[in-house]
Amino acid sequence: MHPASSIRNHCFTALLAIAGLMFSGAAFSHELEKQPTPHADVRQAPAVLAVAGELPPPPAGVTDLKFRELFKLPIGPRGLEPSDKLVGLNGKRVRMVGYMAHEETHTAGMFILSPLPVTMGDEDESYADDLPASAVFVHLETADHGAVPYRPGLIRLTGLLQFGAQQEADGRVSTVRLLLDPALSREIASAGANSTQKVATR
Amino acid sequence: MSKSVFARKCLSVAIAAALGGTACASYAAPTVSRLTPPSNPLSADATTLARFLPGQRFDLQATVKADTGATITRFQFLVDGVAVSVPAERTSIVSGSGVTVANGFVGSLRAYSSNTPGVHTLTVNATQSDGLVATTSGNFEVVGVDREGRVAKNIIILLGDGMGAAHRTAARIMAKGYAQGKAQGRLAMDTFPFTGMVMTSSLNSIVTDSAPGMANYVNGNKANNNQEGVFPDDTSDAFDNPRIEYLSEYLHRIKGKSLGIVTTADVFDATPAANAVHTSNRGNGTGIVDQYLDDSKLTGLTVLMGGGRKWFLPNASNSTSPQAANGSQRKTSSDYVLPGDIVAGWGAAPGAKDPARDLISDFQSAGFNYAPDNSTLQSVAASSDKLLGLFSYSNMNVAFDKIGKRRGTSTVVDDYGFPDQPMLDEMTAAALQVLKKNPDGFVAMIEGASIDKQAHLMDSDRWIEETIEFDRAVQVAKDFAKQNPDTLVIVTADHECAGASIIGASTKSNADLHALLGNGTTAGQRDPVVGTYDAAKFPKYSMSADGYPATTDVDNKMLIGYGANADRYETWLANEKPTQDSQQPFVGQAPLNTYPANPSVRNASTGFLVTGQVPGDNAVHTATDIPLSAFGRGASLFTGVMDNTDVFFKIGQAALGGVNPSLRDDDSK
Repeated sequence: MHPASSIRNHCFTALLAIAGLMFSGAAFSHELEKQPTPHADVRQAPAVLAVAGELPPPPAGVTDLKFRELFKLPIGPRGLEPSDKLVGLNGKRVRMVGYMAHEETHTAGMFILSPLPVTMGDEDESYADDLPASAVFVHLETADHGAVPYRPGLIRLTGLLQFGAQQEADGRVSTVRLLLDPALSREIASAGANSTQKVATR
Repeated sequence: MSKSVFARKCLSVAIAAALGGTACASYAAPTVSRLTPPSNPLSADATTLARFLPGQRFDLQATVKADTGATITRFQFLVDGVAVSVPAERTSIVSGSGVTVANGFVGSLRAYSSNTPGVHTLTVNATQSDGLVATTSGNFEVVGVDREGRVAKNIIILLGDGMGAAHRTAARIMAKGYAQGKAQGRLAMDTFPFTGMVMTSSLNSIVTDSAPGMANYVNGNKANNNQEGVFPDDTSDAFDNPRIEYLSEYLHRIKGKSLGIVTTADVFDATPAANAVHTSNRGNGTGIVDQYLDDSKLTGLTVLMGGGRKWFLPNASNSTSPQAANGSQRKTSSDYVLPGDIVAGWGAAPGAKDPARDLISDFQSAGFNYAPDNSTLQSVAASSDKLLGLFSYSNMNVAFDKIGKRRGTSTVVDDYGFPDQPMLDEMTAAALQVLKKNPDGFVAMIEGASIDKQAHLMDSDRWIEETIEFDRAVQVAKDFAKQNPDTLVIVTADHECAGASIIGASTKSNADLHALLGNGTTAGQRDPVVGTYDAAKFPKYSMSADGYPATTDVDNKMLIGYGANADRYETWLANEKPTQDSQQPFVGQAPLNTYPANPSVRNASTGFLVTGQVPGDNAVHTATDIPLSAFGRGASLFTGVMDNTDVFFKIGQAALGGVNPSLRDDDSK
């Protein structure tokens, strides 16, 4: 296959150049340098969200969950299947580390946490490469927080895990959701109220 | 064909039936901007561009620009001055937003064929609503078949994607060794008695991609890049282009042959799809895999094997952002529905926008056994009448990593989630086992897909092992042809990839190359390492019982350069991990996130920078001629310098007219 032709069709520009550096502290600063053109509403991650070096142990009652652990391996004859860990943590508090998807149009009170840095256009007409099935929809405690400002780099989030297909306000269908802890919701939404970002009305 | 070429042809707009003509609001007249099949008015020594075998079906089509406010009400196609008459449901006129030419009208007549050899004149008369008629003419040729003797019942095309002469030579040096100037053994493809050279350009470029690169071999006509089994048109629908009957469809219709498609790529990829699927956009995965099954009664599809499970899984949400929980990639936007005239003309399935379709179950209902891994493949192949093998999510892993798993030295295939993938020779043997059950014979296309993909990535060790894997499949096909002498085997490529060159060999031991890692300079890692001419000597590799080199990192290893290279960092050593494939499900997630993202960052901290001549992250295809070797019934036809479309007519001669039995086509050297 001619790689260029498939890449040409993508609406999601995966910034693969930095994907390989996801879990190292050194990678974080490197990753910041390679982000797309700075956005007016870009916010650097506050300490409570930041990922640098080894993470501290999760708080009591919280389990670390990696994107990689969402589905069974090897992959089944009929495609991906939810892992026992994912099913077992449904309704429990988990901590996840990933990248906030850079969306052209934001939906109030939610964003997508991706295992790799992605920029998503409004047009969803891509052919081959898309947001992986393991992408997690993150919900703030209330949509009243408005649009969540984009933050580059890895962030760590803690909240209640939800598993099962659900239609979202942006029209997408989620499989895994993270209902953010209230304090974290307020933190990550800060400055969102004054945002000039384009917010979906649907 | 480019519009400009046709513009020159369209000077003669006849104004027939001019009933006074004064009613015309504009002095412009309707003009034919495209006539399909395309013609060649430019070259005296290549008077026909479009060629067909006797009875091979193809669509007639014209695009006409109407005057402002007027419409085109009728298209009439004439061959040698005689109007082509078909039932109305096999014709159509498309206009409005679906046409990419302003005020354009696209008239089609589906599934025409002619049994009369020779050059024919094709004329279109398009009548405008005010009575003005636009007309233009072109030509096409029906290439006759001579009745010579015994015919080839089975056709096996082994397609090493991107495999140029250098890829073959490198595989030979590694697998067989050289001494005193002579190869110490031959690749299976080297033993074929007839070899020629193929010109690979597509309809719109000297440099082809894999879609027309394959399709040109199996329908005899040039196509635009990204298009498979169709001529270009002026509509936005990717599935309504003028079709050309494939070898598989032609020989299934008139001879009852089966079709087998085997690839190490995702089965929706351009090369496999360009044997059975008609679309102007090679990226339309959902529609492409659906057509494999829906039109299997046209193609005789009996075996389909490769990667690409993601296209076969139901996706009730029709969303891939994110993908469905099962990883499905199916979507309405890449699916197909055919217009009625194609359905009526070709007997094709109408198709449906059905992302929720469970295509694996539909294949099973149609009689296919489904093998998701190698152990299942081995257990079901012998008892299968039809076989579907989907061994990975997208492209399969490459030989370097599959063999590493079998040796217990690599976990790459585990990281991808598919630990038990077959090698191409195992897939080939299983496919032939199923296909040979048809007493009327078969057409098989077997692709070593990642020779190209790894050459794009300039991962030398991996594409050399891909070529060795491919050659092991060639051996399986050759053995089959020896046992079944009515079989023609062709080994070729669709194009060269990366401008690969064997530049010499390392003057260093493996340990010394490791000691240079991190040096980062040409003075350190290039100048004292690259042994040219005499200093290259004869690199020696040790082959294991599994048929692959024990290691590619031998002392004084062979060195590869690239003439069509992008930026890369070179260490000369094998990359422990393959470069990321963005189409895999866990890309970006541990441990795949530790794999190099592309050649411009791979080994950035260990190698020296080789500045590329092409932009982007990948080496590119080149226009270099590629070798073709043939064995078995009809092999003697495949010599000299050929156009890629010539190959189709040689296969046609072998399959329909046969060859003189005195020619020793199976004379293995």
